[in-house]
Amino acid sequence: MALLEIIELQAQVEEKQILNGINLSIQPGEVHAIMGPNGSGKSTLSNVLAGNESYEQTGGNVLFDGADLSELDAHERARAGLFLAFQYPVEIAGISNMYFLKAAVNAIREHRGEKQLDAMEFLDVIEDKKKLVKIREDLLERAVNSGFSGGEKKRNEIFQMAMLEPKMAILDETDSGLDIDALRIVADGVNALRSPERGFLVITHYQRLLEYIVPDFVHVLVNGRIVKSGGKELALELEEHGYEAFEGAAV
Amino acid sequence: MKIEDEKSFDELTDKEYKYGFVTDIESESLPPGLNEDIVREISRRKEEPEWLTEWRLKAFRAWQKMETPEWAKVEFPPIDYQALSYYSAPKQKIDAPKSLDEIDPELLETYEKLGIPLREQEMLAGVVAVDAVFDSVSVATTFKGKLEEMGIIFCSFSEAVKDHPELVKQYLGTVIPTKDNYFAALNSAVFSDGSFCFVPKGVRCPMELSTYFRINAANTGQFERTLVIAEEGAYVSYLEGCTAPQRDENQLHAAVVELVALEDAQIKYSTVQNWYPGDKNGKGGIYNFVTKRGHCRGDRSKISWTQVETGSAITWKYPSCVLKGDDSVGEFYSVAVTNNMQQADTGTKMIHVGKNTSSTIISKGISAGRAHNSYRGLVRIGPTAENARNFSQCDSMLIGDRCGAHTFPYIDVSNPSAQVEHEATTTKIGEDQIFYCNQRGLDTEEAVSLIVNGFCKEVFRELPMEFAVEAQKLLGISLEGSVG
Amino acid sequence: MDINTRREEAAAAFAAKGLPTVKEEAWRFTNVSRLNEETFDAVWQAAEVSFDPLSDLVVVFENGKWSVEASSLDGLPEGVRVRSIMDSADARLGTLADSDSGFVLSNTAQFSDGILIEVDAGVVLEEPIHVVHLADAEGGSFAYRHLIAAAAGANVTVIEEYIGSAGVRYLTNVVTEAFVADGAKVDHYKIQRESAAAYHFQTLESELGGDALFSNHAVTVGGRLGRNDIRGRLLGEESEAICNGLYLLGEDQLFDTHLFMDHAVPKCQSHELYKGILSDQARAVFCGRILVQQDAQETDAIQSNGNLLLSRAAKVNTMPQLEIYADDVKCTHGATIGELDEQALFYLQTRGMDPQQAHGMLTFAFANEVLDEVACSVVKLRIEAMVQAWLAGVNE
Repeated sequence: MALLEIIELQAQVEEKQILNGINLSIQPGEVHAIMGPNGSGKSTLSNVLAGNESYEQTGGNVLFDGADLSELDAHERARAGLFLAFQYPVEIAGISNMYFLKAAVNAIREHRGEKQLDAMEFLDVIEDKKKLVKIREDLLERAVNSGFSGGEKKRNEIFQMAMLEPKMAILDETDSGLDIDALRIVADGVNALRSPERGFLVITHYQRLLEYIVPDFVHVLVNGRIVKSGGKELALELEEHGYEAFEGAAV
Repeated sequence: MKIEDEKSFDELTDKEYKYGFVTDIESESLPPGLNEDIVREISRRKEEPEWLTEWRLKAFRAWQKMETPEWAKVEFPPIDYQALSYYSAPKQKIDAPKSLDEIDPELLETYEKLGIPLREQEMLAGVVAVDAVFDSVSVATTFKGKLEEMGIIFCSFSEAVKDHPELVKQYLGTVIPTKDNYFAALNSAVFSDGSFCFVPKGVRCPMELSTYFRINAANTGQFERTLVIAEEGAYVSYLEGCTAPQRDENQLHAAVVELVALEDAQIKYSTVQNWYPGDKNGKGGIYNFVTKRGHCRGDRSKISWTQVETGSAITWKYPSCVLKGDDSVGEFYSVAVTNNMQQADTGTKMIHVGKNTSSTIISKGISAGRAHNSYRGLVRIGPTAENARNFSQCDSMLIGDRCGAHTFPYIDVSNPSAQVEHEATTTKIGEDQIFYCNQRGLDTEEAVSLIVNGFCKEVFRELPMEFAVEAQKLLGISLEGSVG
Repeated sequence: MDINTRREEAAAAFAAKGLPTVKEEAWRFTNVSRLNEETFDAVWQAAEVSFDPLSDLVVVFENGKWSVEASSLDGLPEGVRVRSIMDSADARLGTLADSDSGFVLSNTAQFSDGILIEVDAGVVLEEPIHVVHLADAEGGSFAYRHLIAAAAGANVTVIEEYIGSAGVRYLTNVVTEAFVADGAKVDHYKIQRESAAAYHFQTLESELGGDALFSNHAVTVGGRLGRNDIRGRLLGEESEAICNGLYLLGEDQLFDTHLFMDHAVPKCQSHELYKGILSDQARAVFCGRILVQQDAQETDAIQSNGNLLLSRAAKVNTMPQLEIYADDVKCTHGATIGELDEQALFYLQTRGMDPQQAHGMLTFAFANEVLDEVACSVVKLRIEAMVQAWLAGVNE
């Protein structure tokens, strides 16, 4: 059974149709990349999958681990193991990163029927995971994403992913705004989390990220539809010829 | 910033108010003074119906019991209301001009000097219909016929009283009651003319309607009254411009503007106010004490105020919106420039009553010389205003260290679903910005004008095209001599 | 002028003027006329109210008087003097709080006790001084007068805490004056948890020399009707004033904060962050005025006031004000009233929290932001616990 099965998905934002029938099937252990020009619907797709209520699913189906996603609220999707690394992570002043993570980890553990972590156990897990993305100690004490640089925010997203151990992770333009060193750290973190059980959907505008997170499949998204799918070589092809060649195809 | 060159500095500060000429025209004025007889006399001369005379008298009696408001951050000596003349009309051979040919050529020339050639306007298949108010009396309204075909009434207030008394009676004073405030009460008692506009149900007014106000006579106050009504689904864009001759004494301008928007109607009201500001030492200039308010009565109605205030010795005005209809929208875009000894205390009130109402306030205050510029505004979200939204942005810019810029917002919220955001900043023009412009070949004066225009861009883009160009020029003129 | 003459004059002025009325702009939204109809008397008696000391240095006032038994000043280092204001004739008294407000006049005329804290030049007192005010006398009137003087380079932390016995009606009227000399640092905290039937008014005046720091954090949960008038004057260059506050109000509480920051000289900073959460029929008034005088070039002033309304009957009036006479300044103010950020709610939900949890966490975060600059960890913990307890009470 596919981990994530997207069938003829249509969605709109503020009454504007953005996704026009997307089909995609992701098996456990696979890394899929979606590439597309600005305005092609990349962020809409990630928001719809994560259950953002500002985005309305107007047609089609999404099955996650066999369950109909549209039946689940955002937090239920998260607890079921769907993780979204945001393109623009929200800043939350007044709540420390640590406190926030503990609440999230325990909410998800409770859902899985696992016991709540106490403060010491939680710190042990943190110690373990923080090496993955080389996150600085002081960022954990600071308020969630507040005053973080672009790179720190993205690293914090991957750190959260490591902490929450999702079945399926969607990375929404995680490479945007990263310099080459930060990009490598983030990619290393993601690669460390690759496993036969876990699926990834990497959404990006540029091929660059895919040099570090090598995908099994690449899909081209134009005007809310996947117009071409292929192996990792498709990304290189796009790099060379641009999206222009596909834009006619989507109409 | 330093004074680069004494001579050019002096030249700049001495640059004169472009509209400061006096038109040599015979006028009929009432003797100075204010009492019930004067109020009756104004009403009689205008051949008004009994109810309107009574309405004026009621306002006058209320005014007598009121006191000059003192809460604004402006200072001026007490006004001797008995020393003013409350009626001044250009003398005419016939009662009212039937066409532009009957208008005194001196008057037509005045408007041409002001850049409002009435005759040309009439002949050209233009886009602007103009009502010109000279001292207290409306002298010409162009494009009347064309508008009438669409059912739009656009005429002087006096004509409206004669020809459409039922409309005037239905709406007059329903937005701004006679006792609303000191200056509105005074206006209600002695208003002499103004503009009237009525756009019937479903009609979109195809051209900008424009009123041009001009104070000419000495020792007179100008008290005009504007009433704009947009019925269900109607749309109108209304422009207002003002100038006055350069005189040593202060002159009072106390106008009232009432707007009514019914269901789905939209009124856009733009003002470029360039009354004589007084000289650089603060001598003379207009006291501009104006009450403007719009009622969004119907659901989904919208009223939008845009103002560019560069003139007047003192400006005291708060164009406001009462958002009564559900989903109604109020907007206020303002640029207020004060230089030399000018004082401005201006802003808006957004009163949210209906559900899902929203309002936007963008205010840009620029202060130079020894001027004072205050933003004063109220945002009130009433208990019935479910899901109301307001966003306010008030930015001030100071040019020089002898001026002041102040922000006094009042925010009252009584509904938990409201979202209100107010931001204010104060900045100066950076020397690096000036240097950058200098390096690209602009002189400091041009650089300031450019930067200030950029600062005001959000407001200018709300103005109709012709007005936006004029506003930008005015801004440059009023800031001349401010860089030292 | 000696203090007795000053007190007599204030009594006469108060008799003539009385308490402020809603006709005064600064009191427009805060009607205190009911105080004229109720009677309050000075009753000096021991109080049976428990409290947790936040420091080894504790001064306890019970129903208007310093309690020697309950207080403890052991280990007060050399160069720091703490005593009753009644035992000294400090010439500085009343030189800052010289306004003609009815509450200040009445306090000057009637104060029955107070604390005088003096820290000599260069002396750094690590341990905070916890000044506790306990009240349980029905109909009591308590007027306290405090004075904090930090000489050049001195450093001191003062916590004023007001605790009332549940349901008891009384009036607390405090005036605190803080003198912060060149290079000195005073961290001042105020925790107000008076009884729900009490009235509480405080005027806090501070004056800063050059390169000085004064911080004030005011947390209010108690009192039926109350107000803080907090005024700072920056008189020396490169000084910094921080005034943060939090008000958590329910039932028919009305609490008013009036801040006034006066920048008289160049290169000073002031930061003000105020947050409020209102439930039931509570009302909050906030007026923050920043004055930048003509000479105060290179001023950096930021002020913000955020409010969260949890009920239909709650109401807030906020007035952030800037009055600026210098051109080379960076001044901003902002005010918000509204619901929690939907984006943030979504973000929390994508991390597995249900809507109620997400809501609770963001509400706590909203209040907690004010505590970011609380340097004193015991105070921080105390306030955090108060916020949690208050929020738990609202959710019941």
